[in-house]
Amino acid sequence: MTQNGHHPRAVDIQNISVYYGSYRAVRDVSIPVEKNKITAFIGPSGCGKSTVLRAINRMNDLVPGARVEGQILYHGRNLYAPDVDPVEVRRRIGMVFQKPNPFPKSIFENVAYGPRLLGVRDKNTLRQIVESSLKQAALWDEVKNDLDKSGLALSGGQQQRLCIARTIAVEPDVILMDEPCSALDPISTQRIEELMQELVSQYTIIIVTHNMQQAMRVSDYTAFYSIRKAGEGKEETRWGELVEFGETQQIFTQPQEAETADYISGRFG
Amino acid sequence: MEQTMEGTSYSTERSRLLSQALGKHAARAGIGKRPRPNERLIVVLLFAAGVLSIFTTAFIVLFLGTEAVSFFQSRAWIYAKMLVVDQAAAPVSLRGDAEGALNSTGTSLLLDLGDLSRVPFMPGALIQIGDEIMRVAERRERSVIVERGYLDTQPQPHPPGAPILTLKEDSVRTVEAIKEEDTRIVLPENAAGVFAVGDIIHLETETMRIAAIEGDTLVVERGLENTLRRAYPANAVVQVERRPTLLAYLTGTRWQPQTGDFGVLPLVQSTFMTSFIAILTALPVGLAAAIYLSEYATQRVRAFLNPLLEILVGVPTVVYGFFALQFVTIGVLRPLFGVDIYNTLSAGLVVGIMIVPTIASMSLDAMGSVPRGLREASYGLGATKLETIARVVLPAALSGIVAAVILGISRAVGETMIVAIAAGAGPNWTFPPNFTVGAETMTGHIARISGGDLSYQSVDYTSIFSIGLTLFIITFLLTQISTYITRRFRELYE
Amino acid sequence: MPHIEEGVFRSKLIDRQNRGTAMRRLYAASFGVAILALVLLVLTIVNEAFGYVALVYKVEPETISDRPLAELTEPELVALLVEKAPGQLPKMVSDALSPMDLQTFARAPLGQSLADKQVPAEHADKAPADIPTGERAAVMGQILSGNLTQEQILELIEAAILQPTVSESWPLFEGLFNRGAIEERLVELFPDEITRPELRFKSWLRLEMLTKPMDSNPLVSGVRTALLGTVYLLIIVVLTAFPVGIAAAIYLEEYADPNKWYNRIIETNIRNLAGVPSIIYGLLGLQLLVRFMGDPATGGLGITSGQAFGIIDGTGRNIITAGLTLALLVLPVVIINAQEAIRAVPPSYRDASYGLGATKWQTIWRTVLPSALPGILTGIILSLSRAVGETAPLVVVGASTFIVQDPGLFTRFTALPIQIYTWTSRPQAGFRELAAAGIIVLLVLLIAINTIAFVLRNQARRRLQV
Repeated sequence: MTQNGHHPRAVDIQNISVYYGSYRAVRDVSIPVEKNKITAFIGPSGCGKSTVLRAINRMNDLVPGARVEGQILYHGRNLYAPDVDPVEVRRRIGMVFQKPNPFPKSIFENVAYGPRLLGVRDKNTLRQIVESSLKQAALWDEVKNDLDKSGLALSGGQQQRLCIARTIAVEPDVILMDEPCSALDPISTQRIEELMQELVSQYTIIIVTHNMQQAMRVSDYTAFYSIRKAGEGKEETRWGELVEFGETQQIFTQPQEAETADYISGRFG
Repeated sequence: MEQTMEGTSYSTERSRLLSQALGKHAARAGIGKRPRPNERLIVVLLFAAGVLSIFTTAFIVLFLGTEAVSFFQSRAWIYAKMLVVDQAAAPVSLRGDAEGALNSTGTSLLLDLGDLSRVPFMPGALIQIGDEIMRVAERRERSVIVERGYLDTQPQPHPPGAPILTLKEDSVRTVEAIKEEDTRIVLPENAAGVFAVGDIIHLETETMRIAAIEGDTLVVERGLENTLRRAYPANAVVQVERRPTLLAYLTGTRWQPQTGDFGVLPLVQSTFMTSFIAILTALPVGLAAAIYLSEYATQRVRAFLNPLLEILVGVPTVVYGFFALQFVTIGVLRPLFGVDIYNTLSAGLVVGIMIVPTIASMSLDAMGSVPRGLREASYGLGATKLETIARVVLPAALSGIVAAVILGISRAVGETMIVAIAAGAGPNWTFPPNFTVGAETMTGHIARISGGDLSYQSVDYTSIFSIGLTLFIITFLLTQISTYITRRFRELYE
Repeated sequence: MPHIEEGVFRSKLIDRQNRGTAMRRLYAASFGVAILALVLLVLTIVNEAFGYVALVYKVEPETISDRPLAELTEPELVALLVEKAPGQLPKMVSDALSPMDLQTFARAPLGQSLADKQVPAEHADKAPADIPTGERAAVMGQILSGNLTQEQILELIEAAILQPTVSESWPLFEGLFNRGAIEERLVELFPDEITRPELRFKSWLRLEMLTKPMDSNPLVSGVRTALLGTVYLLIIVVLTAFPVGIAAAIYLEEYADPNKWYNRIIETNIRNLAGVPSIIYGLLGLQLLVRFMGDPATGGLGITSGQAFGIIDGTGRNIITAGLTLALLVLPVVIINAQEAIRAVPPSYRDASYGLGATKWQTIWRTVLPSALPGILTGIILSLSRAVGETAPLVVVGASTFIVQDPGLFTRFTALPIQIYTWTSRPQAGFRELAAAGIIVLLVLLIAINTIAFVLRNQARRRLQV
């Protein structure tokens, strides 16, 4: 594992396990996430990468019976400490979802949703925030004349950029992206990837992706997860585990683990 | 790099705007818990709204229960009645010739009407020849058909020309004046038979208990329940107490609580009569509609037919009631079959129209959840569409359809306005059930009795609650059975 | 292996298919039955709401005027009024022209009570009570002729002097297709040709119905008080059942843990309540709202009867108790429909909102509810329509059958369906027809509510999609 001493850690995942009821879906994952870098989570379906991602901004709290053991440090504070408010966490650690999910509201209202939640009421301020967010998400030129149109009327790629604009409108620290391009065409994907490269100077980004090329192209660090099994027949249980974490360059060229090597070269089932 | 610079400026700009608009609140530090009293309050309010429905049910059960209990504790004071010879009745006798003789089993009485032009007895009247009492069953031109040996009298032969006495019910009155300290009440001959030891009786407002019966004299305990002992002149009317018992309530065939008839059966009977007709109407129509919608109708036809069912649901029941009375009864049934102006048949038919949508939509659900695989298996064996429906879809959906029928019955039982307008305005027990005459249902009776200022202590008030409880239990059980069947049915296919 | 001869097989198949076609027609015919029932229903109502009547006058028109009344001029008509019904003139003026009630009108200066009307200048500062009895009728007549048309005065004469009553009435189709039998019947009823009333077409549905209060004469009775009652009831239902119902639905869908026993009980209970007959709700309202929370004279708390608010003669049988009873009645329907609408909101909307740092309530208020609105509105239409037509619970909580004064919150009241019910069950000629006219008013109201709600729902839906 490589550690870059020049960057303080934005999020430090320390030895967490995620449970759904009594089922332990992910075991013992530790990942130091560097500030202003893109960290990619890769691995086969069901390996728990999305689960870990959703644990970072406590979205798992919304699933009945979900529970996290271990700790995730954010600016040195454990996000799972009892005195931490998940609502405040999510405002600082924003999230972009797999399927673009704009609200059934106008483009303007979509972006203004977050600032309004915080209590911004001044029309002028809202307009400025919406404009700067859309500009930064590289969507402004396409929609500046249609701010009153429904967010649902946009194309898939535009919708996803709208969701990104919506996320950065509240100025989070960290942006979590859960396979943000899986529902998009290649051109839209490329635009999102370019956008990520621009955003990373301001934000720390963690992205879950199925697409290894994408991880290779955009990320600075990569975490590779895999599925473990135990028991036979009905007794069989499966869970996700972190296999390897390191600089992307190193993971893709000199993986330390054989399993990683198999997966990135496509020999993994 | 230039783009990144731009991004930085957007970001800083936004941070500035946010902190300007919100003050320190927007500062990046502090993910600690914030008190959100408003949210707490909101959750409490929402919970309270949810719990309100529990109170609704609790109150319904509580009120129906307590008032039904006080109904069973209520008492009615009725005039004690005895049979006396009606002196005012016209003299009639058996015919004087040999044919007029009556043996001990004959039921046809040939009459000598004297100067009367018609037989003076109405069906149901009691007559006496010698010591035997008979009940008139049918009136002919110059004869009557009777039931012999009524009221524990023995049928015996009667000679031609025997006089026939007309009997009537009369109130039992005291023979002698009663002083304050007296404990004996002297009654007319044969009147003591209507009382039993232990009966509670009233003279005016004084409550007494019969301690013993000696011939025609009642020995009573006086001034019970803190009532005032008083003196009474001769000819005072004796009232006797009637209390409803559960047995009398569930088995009695007369409902007239003010006069001591507490049998709910006439109301229950007509409720089920109208519901029966309703189901008989709604089941074929609703089921056929469901089959058509589910198996045949194209999307466009469905878009036309579904609103039709919704309109049927949306018509207020008072309008259906008007329709039942004005069209079904007056317009069709009366001219064709000569039914009474109020009758259970017409009300039942229209209640049936009202519940067609219920049956149709529930049957439709049931048929919709029959797996495609079953249908395809049938088609694959060369069955036609009709055969598939009749032999595969309907049997598979049967329990769902049964649930629909039961729920439909429950709706029909609880329906008020149609039956209040068209079924009749008085309890009427008919056996065998007669659909062409008026008979008040449970709901119709509640509606009629409560349509005025009832005193909260009256037996009328408590009685409508006890009928309400009966109605509630019936509909509750029906809906529970229907829900249970539906759930079992779903489990079968899911 | 049995061999089926092809001919036999084919003919059987044709048989089987023919049977299928026949049954298919039969199934489709079920809708014929439904349509037929609806058509007959509408025809019955139309048939009764319009028809023919034989009117009998208390005072025959011929006895007060040589010429037909319709040909008389306005001053002649007013003169007739002044002559034949002098005592009723102030009331006529008050009813027709002044917003005040009769007693206030009698004591207020004419210039004030008839501010925007034509009033003779010399009487403008006098109140009707100040004018000497001998002159009062003439002054009132003067005011009438100054402000009303000839037709309106004719109506006044009809109501005040002629006082027609319905002797006999016939429904529309009988009048159209069986005229002869009606004429014969008339001859039978009125052998004397001179007093025999003429057969007149009568539309029982009149626009004035909406503004006229109830009357014991079906010819002039309106539905104003009943319509107001129904509207007030609806307002109470909207103000109480909808917020509570939507709140309960939010609780059940968003906050309640379905594994907790008490939440399961609430859920089951609501479903059971939806199946309770409406008349049982009437009994609940009667005992809880009318008796226990009502008139202190009979042991109540005096809340719903108004004593707690300084009303003296409230009985508890009023708009408030009836409205709350209806609210309890529609509550389960509102909750169940709102629950379904909330459940249909895609989870991704919730995720997006939470991901932006919204609290649970913010998510519900800003995202879930707006998206569920069209569905919730649909449920509201359903329950409002139900509340408008409900009769049984109103009968039980004690709606009155005859109300002339506009209802207040704590006064006795009536409602449209109650009126229809009462009129339907009255034997005298004219009331059945009046009931039919009332039904048309009720149905128009229902259609109006549905249309408004339909438009609202479509607007909400459009706002969400475009």
